[in-house]
Amino acid sequence: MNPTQAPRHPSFQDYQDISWTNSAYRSLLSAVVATSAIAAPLAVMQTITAWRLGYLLPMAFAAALEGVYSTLQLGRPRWRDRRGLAFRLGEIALWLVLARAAVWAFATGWPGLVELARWLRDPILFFDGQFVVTGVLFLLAWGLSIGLTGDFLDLALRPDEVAAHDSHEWGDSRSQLRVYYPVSRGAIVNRLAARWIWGGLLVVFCAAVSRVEISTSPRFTQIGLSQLGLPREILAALLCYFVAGLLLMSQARLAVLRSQWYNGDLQVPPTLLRRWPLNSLLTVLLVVAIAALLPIGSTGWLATALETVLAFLMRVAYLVLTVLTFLFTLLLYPLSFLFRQPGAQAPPPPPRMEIPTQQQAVSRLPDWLGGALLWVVLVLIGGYFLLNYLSAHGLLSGRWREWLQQLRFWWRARWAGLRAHAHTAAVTLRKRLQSARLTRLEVLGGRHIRLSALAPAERIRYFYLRAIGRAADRGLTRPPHKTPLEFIPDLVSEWPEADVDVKALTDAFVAARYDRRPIVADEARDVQGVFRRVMAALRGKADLTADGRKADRTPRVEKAL
Amino acid sequence: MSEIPLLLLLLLVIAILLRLDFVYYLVYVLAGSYILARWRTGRNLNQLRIVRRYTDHIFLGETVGVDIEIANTSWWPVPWLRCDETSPHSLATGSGAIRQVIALRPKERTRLHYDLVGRRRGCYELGPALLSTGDLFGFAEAHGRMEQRDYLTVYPRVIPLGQLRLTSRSPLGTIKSQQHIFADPARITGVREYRAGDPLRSVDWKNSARVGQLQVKKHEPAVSLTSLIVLEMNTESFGRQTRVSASEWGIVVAASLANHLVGQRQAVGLACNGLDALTGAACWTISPRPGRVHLMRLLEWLARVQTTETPPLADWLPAATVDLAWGATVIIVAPTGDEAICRASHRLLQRGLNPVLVVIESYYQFGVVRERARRLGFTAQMVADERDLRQWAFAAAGAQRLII
Repeated sequence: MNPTQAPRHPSFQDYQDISWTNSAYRSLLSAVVATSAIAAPLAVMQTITAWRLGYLLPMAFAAALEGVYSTLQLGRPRWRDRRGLAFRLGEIALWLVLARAAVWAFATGWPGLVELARWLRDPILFFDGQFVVTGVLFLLAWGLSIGLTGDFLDLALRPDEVAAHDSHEWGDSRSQLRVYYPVSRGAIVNRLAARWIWGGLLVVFCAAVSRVEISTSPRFTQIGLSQLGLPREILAALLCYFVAGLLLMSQARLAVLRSQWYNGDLQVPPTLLRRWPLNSLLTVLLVVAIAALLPIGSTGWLATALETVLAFLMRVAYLVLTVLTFLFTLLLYPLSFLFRQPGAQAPPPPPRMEIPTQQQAVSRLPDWLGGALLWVVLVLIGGYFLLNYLSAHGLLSGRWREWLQQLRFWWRARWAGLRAHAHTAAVTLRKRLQSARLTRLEVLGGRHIRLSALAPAERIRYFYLRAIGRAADRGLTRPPHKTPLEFIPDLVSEWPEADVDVKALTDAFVAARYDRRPIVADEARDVQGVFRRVMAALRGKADLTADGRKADRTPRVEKAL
Repeated sequence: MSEIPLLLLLLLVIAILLRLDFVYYLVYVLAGSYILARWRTGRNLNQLRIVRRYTDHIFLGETVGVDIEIANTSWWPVPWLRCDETSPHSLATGSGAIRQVIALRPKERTRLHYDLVGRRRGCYELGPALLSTGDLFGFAEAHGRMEQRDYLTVYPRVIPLGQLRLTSRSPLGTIKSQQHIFADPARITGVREYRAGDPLRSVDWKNSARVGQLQVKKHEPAVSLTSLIVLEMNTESFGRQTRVSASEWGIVVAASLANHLVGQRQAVGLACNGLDALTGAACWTISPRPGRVHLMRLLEWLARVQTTETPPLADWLPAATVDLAWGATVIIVAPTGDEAICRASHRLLQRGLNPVLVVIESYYQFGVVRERARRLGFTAQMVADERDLRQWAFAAAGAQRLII
């Protein structure tokens, strides 16, 4: 066999639509549309503020390009381990940092120590309006480009379609097992088109409103123009939005047709696919050129006629609305007395509560502590996402990687030390708590219980538990798995002289604990005698076996009694 | 993309209300693209000239190339054109059809090609070619079909036959006859000595003078075979199991006989009670005529014929042979030689025609049929397969040699 004809094992790249996903033309169009979309809010901001925002469109374009690039990369199989929220949050952190830096660099100037101290005390001052607007617009362009790129990735040929297409070439008998999952590309394109169309309307409306102010006009409306022009960059961006959007729609159309042709095993000359972008571009440019030669809208006869018609319609609508309002008012007038409350006076306002200020509440802490903590948390979270993003792009290599490794080891060592200290402190605290609990138990069990204050059943239970406790002190602890009745033989084997009393005390305890029969006081009094005898027997055993001296035979209960 | 008109309307309202010229410009651009796309897409198909070029008659086993020539007659390009040409499944090669997408520049002409193989006789309709086109933006799409109906005829198989013994009662003709009473005075094969009873017009006076004895011209016996091939294609006449194969074989036999007879420069006609797929005619007759052109006509009808429910051949045979002259040969190609057909053949014999019954389905008691035919005065031959046909021709040639 000729080595060049040897069968090649297919790789995953054979099932990827690389020629489609790697198109720089489409990526550029997506970035242009996403950037142009923020032109309208930019125009509004330029109208209502005096900020310097000239840097915003180029940087938004960079953000859009970055969004396109990262989305394309994440769509590849070798980046599948990086897909997730952490990567996207890293991008957001990056663009927020860049937005802050851009505002400082191009608009407000770099902050001094005074500002830094102020932000430490009051972190909210860091998020000034210009930064918020810039960040939001950056993220808007970035997000739009991600959405557009994601849609076009969904429109690409999928591996199962490629596999099914390949299997068709083998013959029907083998291809029956390989059927691709149909993708509704038409729905994707419709969604894309709807987003573009309604987004475009919003963009135009915002841009138009930014140049309009309320004034009196004799024609038909109360709306007039304050200025007739928009900045050139805004106009160019608006035009780019629609032209690039049209070209993107053309690409989406190509994607749908291409998949239909591919799945239908149609022969498609490569020149058709190659010429498609050029043909669509030429068509749009032709229309743009012809439109430039047409009379400007507001001076044309068509616009005048439409304006007149619209004015008439608006007058009619205004008249109808006025009449309806008048009729509704007349309808409600007889009922107006129902809602009238003569002589009613508003209740006096409640007295103001004196709320202590935050500064007064935490007056013992330094005023910069809260802000510092917030910044530390923000920096840690943002830094984590940023590092995650940079390492995903392979930017943290070489010396940076070593430095980060050392930083990680240092942190692990500190963390281990902190954990050790915490463990020691926890052990110490636990011991202290245990000793305090023991002390409290002794106090509760020995000297401070008044038997006369207990109910008869409680008193019997106390006698039994007290006797068991004494037996435990003497070295015979009741195992948890033994019931009181099962524990009797153990007690009797140690104190045979008290076998009758032990049984009687246990029976009384069982009856008091588990029987529904009420326990009367006389019964408790009888059990008390049994209890004394049992305690005497327990003491005697101790006296004989422990140190040989005779201990005080008076039970401590009796002292209490 | 259905929201584009609404978008244009809203943009127009904004432009009018706020008197913004750049919004007018955007409306111009969007509306221009939209109108241009819809206008051109609707006209694209009308300005295409599509012609299918191919050889419309082929013999069995031949391959024919079909070209679909598509010409864009306008000065506007066609961004994409999808052409789905469905071809007959039994003739198709490869994927079986043209499924292709092309783009046409202004005034460009392109050609799509596919091959068909005549695997089975018949008359096949090519296409229809379904066309769809659209614009570059998805605003409009148009569908159409090529209205021209084209047909491809695949002739039935023709088995060359050496010599067949088919005779008629006509005394004049161009084919040698085994019946010596029909001597053709135009075919002189030699001279012999005069015998008593020889007509005086056959005396060869020149040779007699040279030899000094009366010599008589020897004439080659000959007949004129005006033949009519009658093909049974009534569905009920065939067995259920062999309906397709036997009817196809009958067509092959009829085509081979016609080819043979035309090769002998005889007039041949064809009558069949089957259905012509193209014209829808049932029980049709083609009058006997000589010549290759007429043979191709016979083959074309044989290519198109299909079995159908028609009157049985025995009932229809008198009507089919009513125009035949005395002495013509009627070759009846039928699946069986039942009594009805034999009686119908006998009636032909009584009318002065020369019936020959060719049974095309294998029948183990064919001897009974043959004997019945012999007693009724005509011949019956079973030709159930190609071997039988060749044996028939071979036996006929051998017998002729023996007679000559």
